[in-house]
Amino acid sequence: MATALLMPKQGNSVESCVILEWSKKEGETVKTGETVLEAETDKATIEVESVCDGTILKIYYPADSEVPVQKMIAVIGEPGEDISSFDAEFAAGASVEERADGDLVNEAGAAAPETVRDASYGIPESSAAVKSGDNSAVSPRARNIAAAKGVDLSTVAGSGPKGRIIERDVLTVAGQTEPLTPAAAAALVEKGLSAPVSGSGIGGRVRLQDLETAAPAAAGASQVQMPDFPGSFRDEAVRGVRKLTAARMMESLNSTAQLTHSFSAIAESLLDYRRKLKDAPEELGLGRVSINDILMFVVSRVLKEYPEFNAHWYGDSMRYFDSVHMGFACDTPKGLLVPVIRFADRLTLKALSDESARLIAACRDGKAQPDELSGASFTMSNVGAFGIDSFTPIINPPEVAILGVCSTQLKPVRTGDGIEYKDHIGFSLTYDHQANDGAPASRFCAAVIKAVENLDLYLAL
Amino acid sequence: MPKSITIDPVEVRASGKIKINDIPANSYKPDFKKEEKLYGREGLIGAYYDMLIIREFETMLDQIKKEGAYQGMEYNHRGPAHLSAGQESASVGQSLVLDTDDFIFGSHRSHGEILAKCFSAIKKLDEATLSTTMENFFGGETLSVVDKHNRGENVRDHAENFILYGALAEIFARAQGFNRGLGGSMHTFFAPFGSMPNNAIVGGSGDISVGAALYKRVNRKPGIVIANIGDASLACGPVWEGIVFSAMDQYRTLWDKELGGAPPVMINAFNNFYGMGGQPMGETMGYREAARMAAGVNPEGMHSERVDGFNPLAVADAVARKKKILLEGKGPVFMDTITYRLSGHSPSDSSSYRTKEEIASFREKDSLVEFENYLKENGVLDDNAVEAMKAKVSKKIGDTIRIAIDDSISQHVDAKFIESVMFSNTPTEKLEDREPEVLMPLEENPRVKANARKARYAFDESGKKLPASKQFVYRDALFEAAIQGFYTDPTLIAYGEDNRDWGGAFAVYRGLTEALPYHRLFNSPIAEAAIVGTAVGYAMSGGRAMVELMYCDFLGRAGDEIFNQMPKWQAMSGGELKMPLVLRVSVGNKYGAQHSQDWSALIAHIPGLKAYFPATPADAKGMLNLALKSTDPVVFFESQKLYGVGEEFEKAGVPVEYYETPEGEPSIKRGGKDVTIITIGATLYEAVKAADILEADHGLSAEVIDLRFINPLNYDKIIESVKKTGKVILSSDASERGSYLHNVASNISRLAFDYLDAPPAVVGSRNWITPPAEMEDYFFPQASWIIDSIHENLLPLADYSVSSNQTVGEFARLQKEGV
Repeated sequence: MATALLMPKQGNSVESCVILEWSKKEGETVKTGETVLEAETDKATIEVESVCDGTILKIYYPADSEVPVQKMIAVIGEPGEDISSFDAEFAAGASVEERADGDLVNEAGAAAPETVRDASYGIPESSAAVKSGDNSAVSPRARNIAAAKGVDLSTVAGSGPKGRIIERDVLTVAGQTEPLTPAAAAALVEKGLSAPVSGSGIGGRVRLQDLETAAPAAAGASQVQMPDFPGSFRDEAVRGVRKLTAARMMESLNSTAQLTHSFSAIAESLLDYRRKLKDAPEELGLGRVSINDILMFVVSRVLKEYPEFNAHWYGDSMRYFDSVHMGFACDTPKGLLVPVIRFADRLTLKALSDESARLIAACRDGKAQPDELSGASFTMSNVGAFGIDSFTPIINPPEVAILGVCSTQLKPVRTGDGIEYKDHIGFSLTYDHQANDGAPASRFCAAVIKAVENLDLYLAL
Repeated sequence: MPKSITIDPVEVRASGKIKINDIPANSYKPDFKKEEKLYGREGLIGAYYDMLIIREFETMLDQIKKEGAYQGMEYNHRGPAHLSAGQESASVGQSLVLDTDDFIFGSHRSHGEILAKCFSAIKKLDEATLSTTMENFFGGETLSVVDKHNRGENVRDHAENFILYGALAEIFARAQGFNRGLGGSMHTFFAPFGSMPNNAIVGGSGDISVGAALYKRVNRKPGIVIANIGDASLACGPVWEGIVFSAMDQYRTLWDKELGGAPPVMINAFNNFYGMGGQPMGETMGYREAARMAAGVNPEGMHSERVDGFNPLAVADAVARKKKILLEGKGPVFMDTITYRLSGHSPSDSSSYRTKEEIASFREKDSLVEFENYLKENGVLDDNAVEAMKAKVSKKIGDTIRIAIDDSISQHVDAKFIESVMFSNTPTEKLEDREPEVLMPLEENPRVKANARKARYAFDESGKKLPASKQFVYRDALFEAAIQGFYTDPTLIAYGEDNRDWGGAFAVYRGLTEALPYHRLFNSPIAEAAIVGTAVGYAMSGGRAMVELMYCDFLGRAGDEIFNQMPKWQAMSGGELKMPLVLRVSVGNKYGAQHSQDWSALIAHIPGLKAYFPATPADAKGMLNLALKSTDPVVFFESQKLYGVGEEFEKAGVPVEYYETPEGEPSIKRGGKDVTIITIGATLYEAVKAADILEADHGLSAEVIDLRFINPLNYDKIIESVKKTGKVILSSDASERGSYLHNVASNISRLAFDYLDAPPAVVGSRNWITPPAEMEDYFFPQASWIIDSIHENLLPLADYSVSSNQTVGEFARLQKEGV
C-alpha cells in the first residue's frame, strides 16, 4: 500500500518550507531514510527523507514551491499502484498524517524474540514503536543515534543487557565517518569530486553543493575580446533565504509606518570597558565579548523600562513581552539571518556573548535550527564595522522597532574649558509609528544614550 | 565529663535520705487592697476587658464553626479551631505580669494566650513604639487594612484592632494575617509583642522554649520564656527532655557566673484536665497532680507549684514570683496552672467523655463571671460599665470578622508565595555585630597550629600517598570551618553529646574546648529530641546553632523536631522567622545494626530541609562554611568512614583560606566518557576503585560524580554527563529500598530519557540490618558490585565474570521477598 510523504514540521514557528531541489524523480526508487529532497525554511536547510522503501509514484510540488508543513508532497509505493485516493486528498488539501503513521506501525514485524534470561523482566517481545525487522529492544539513545546517522535498526544486532540494541551497536554499523547525503555520495563516485570533512547539511552532512564548492575551479578561461554590450550575464532564480528576505522586507515596508531616529552616545565608557575585557586574564574567557554583545546586553536592560518597544504589533492588539528575546542581524554566505538570543535580559554579559558567538557560528555553518531564528521581541543590526554613519534599518514585523548600530566617530563636546573631541557611537532606531509615537521613541533613544554613557551602572543589572 | 567535677566514692555511697520539697497548691489568698495597689484599678479593669475579648473571640469562632455565621455574617471556615473559652483567667493572669521582652510559646489551643500577651503589650508599650511596630510589620500591609477599614479611637484602641485582625485573618488563612495565612489557628504568633510560635504538635513547645531561654541567657538578652503546654503533653518524651535540658547543673557549676545562671524558662502546664478526650488525672497518667512531675528533676523540684488558674490574680501572683526566680538564674520553674475548657477539644467534639453535670459545675464557676463579681464587689465595676464593655467588645469582634472574611480586603497568598518562603536563602556570616566570646586568639589554638603542619593534598609529588598522620583530613577540614564560624558569628553555639572535653565522638571538635567558653560549646544530656528542639528555639529567636547527633541512627530519637519543627517554621511563619540551624549527623559503620545507617532519604523527603553530605576534606570545609552562613536549616551528613581521609581529588589541596562550595552543585571527581557513576557519601571511594578497574581491565572511562548535595540539587551537570555517556549507575551506603538515589535515577530518566542507553541502575546497601563489622562487606556497596551492575544492566563487558548477582531477576526476587 502506498505511503504519503509529508513536508516535515520544523520547530514550533515554521509554517511552510520551500522545496529547493528534488534529489529523486517520479519513477525512481528510494530506501527508508534516503533523502528525497532538500527544502529550506526561512531559517535553515533541511533534508526530507523517505519514510519507507519503494518507488516515487507521484511528486505533487515542483522545486521552488512553498509548501505548508505536514502537507503531502509525494507518494511512495509499488509501481502501478492505484494512487487515486492520494490525488483526491491532494486535491482536497487534506493532511494524511495519520495514514502515514499507520503504515509504519502495520509493517512492524512480529519475529520471535531472542532467548533472554529472566524472561518476565526482559524486554517486551514486540513493540509497536519498533520498526520492521527489529526483534529486540532498542535504547532511546541507540534509536536517536540510528535516526541521526540513517542506520536501519533492523540491520543491527543488540549487544546490551538482554540483547538490547545500545549505542555501541549502532555506532558499529554506522562507522565513524561523516555521512554524505545520497546525492552527494552519487556525485562523488560519478564525477570524481572530493568531499570536505564536514558539510553544510544537518549535523555536518556533506551535501551535493558542498562537493561542488570543494571541486577545483574550472580550467582558466582564455583572454577574450571586449564583448558586445552588455556582455554576458546570467539570470538566477531567486530562492531560499534571498526570496524570503525579499518578501519579508517588502511586507515590512508595505504594512508598517516606519521612521527612523538617528542619534549618538559618547562611547568612552563602552570602549574602555571593551578594552578591559580584552585585557582580562585569559581564563576568564572575556576576550571574545564584542562591542555588539555589550550593546545588546545594555539595550536588553533598557528595554525592560520601555516595554512598548519590546513588543509585537498585531493591528488589533499589541503583545508586550516580560522578557527580552534579542534578535540580531547576522551576515552569512546564504544571506541575512536573524538569530535570537532568548531571555537576553536574564543572561550575564558573558553568557550573552557566548550565546551570540554560538548562534553566529551556527548561522554561518548553516546549522542554525529554525527555533533559534525566530521569536525575537526586538532586533539589533550592527553595520558599524563598515564605517556606516547612519542608516534606516527595516523592522522585522510583528516587532515594533529595530535598533541599528553605526560606526564610532569623533564629535566635539562642550566642556568647561572649551571643546573636546570625544568618540561617539551612532545609532539608528527605526520604529513603527502605528505602535509608538515620536516622543516615547525619543525617550527610548535618550535612555539608550544614558545607558551607553553610564555603562558601569547597567552592568550591575 | 569535666575534670573539674570529681565523683567521690565516699560521698556517693553515704547512707541517708533524699528529700523532695513540698509542692504548694492553690495557695493564693485574695487581698483586694494589695491587688489594687499592685495592678491599679485600670489594670484590673484591663484584665477583665482582655478576658472578655478572648471569650468573645472564641465564641465567634465557635459560632462560625458550628452555625456558619456570627452577628449575621456568614462564613465557612475550613480550618481548625481549638478553642479556649473558660481558660481566659489563666492566660490573662499570666500576661498581666509579663513584659514585651518575655516570650510565651504555646500549643494548638493558644488563641487566648496570643491575645492576652499582645493586649498586655499594648498596655505596656509607649504609643510611639506601638505605632512603629505596626508600621514595620509586613511593611505596613496588615496595618493598612485596619487603617482603612477598622480605625480605632486612639493608638492603643487601634493596636487592639490590629492584633484582632492580624490573628483572625491568620486563622482564616489570609495574606494579611500574622503569618501570611500559612500558620493558621494552631501555629500563629506575633513575635514583636513576645507571642512566640504556637505548636500543633502536643508538647512541641516543651523543648523549643528551652532553646529560646538558652538564646536569652547565652546572648544576654532580657526577659524570661514560658512554655505553655497542656497537661496531657507531660507524657511526651520531648517535653521531659526539654525539662531535663533546662535543669542541667552545669549552668551554675561550670558556666561563667556573670552570665546569670540557668536559662530563664518556665514550663507551665495549662492543666484543663483533658488531652482531647483522654483524662491524664485518673486515666492516662499516674501523677494525680501535674505539679508532681517536676518534683524529682532537681533539688529545687523546679520550684513547682499548683496555681488556681480560675483566678487571674492568683496566676499573676505566681508568675511574678517565678519570674523573679528565673531572672536570678535559679530556674527552671514548673507551674501546674489548673483551668477548664468549657467548649470541646474541637468543634467536632461531642464531649462523650465527660458528663453534662461536670461541665455545668464548671460553668457555675466560670472564671469570667467570678472575676466580674469580684470587681463589682470591690466597687471597681458596676453593671453599666460591664454592659458598655461587653457592647464594645462585641462590636470590635464583629468589625474584625467583617474585614477578615471580605475577599476584596483579605486575600490568600498564591502558590508562588509558599514556594518563596520554604527557604529564606539569606546567607549571613554573623547574626549579631559584636566581638565573639573566645578564650584565645585563633592562631594560638593548638589544633590550628597542628593542622598548619599537615599536607592538604593526600599524595606527595611522586603520587605516593602520605602517611595518615601527615595528612590534613576530613575531620580537620570540619574543625577548620567550625572554628572559623565561632570566631565570626558571636551567636554561634554548638552542643550535643560529648562535644566538650571529649572533642566530639569523632574528634572533629578537638581543640574547641580550649577556644570557647562553656556557653558556646557544651555537653548536652543524652536527649536527642531536646538537642534538636532547643536548637530550633535558639535559631528562631535569632541565634545560630550547630548541634550534633552522634549517629545518624539517632535521628529517630528527634523525629518530631527534625521532621516537624526544624523544617516548617520558616514557611509556617510566612517568612517571619529564619532557621539558622546546622544539624550534624554522622553515618556510622562497624557498630552494627543500630549505628550504621545512612538515612539521607528520610531527610530528603521532608520539605523545608536542606541536606548536605560532603565526601572529601575540600567539600567538608566548603560545605560546612556554607551551612554556617545559611539562615536555613541544614542537615549535615558526615560519614565515619571518611573522618580520616585526606584530600585525594583537589591537587591544589584543601584551600587554607575561607571559601564556600556552591550550593546544590554536584562535583565531578573524575572525568570520563563511557559511563557515569554517581555517589553520595563514602561510596565515592568505591566508585573511584571501580573506575580504575574499568579503565585498566575494560578500556572504559568512567565519569565519577559526587552529588554532595541532597537538597537542593542542580541536575545540570548530571544530565550533561548522562547525555555524554548514556549510561549511569548510582551508589551510596543507604539501603537500596527507598534510597534517595532512586529519586535521582528517576529524575535522570525524566530529564534525559532520550539519551539513555539503559535505565539508570542503583547499587545500594542491602535491605537488611547492618551486620557486625566482620560481615560489613556483605552489606555496603563494593567496587565489584558497581562493575557487576554495569555488566548486567548497562553494558555487558567482554570476558567478564561477576562476583555478585546484580541481575534484574535477582533484584525482583529480593523485592518480592522484601529483603
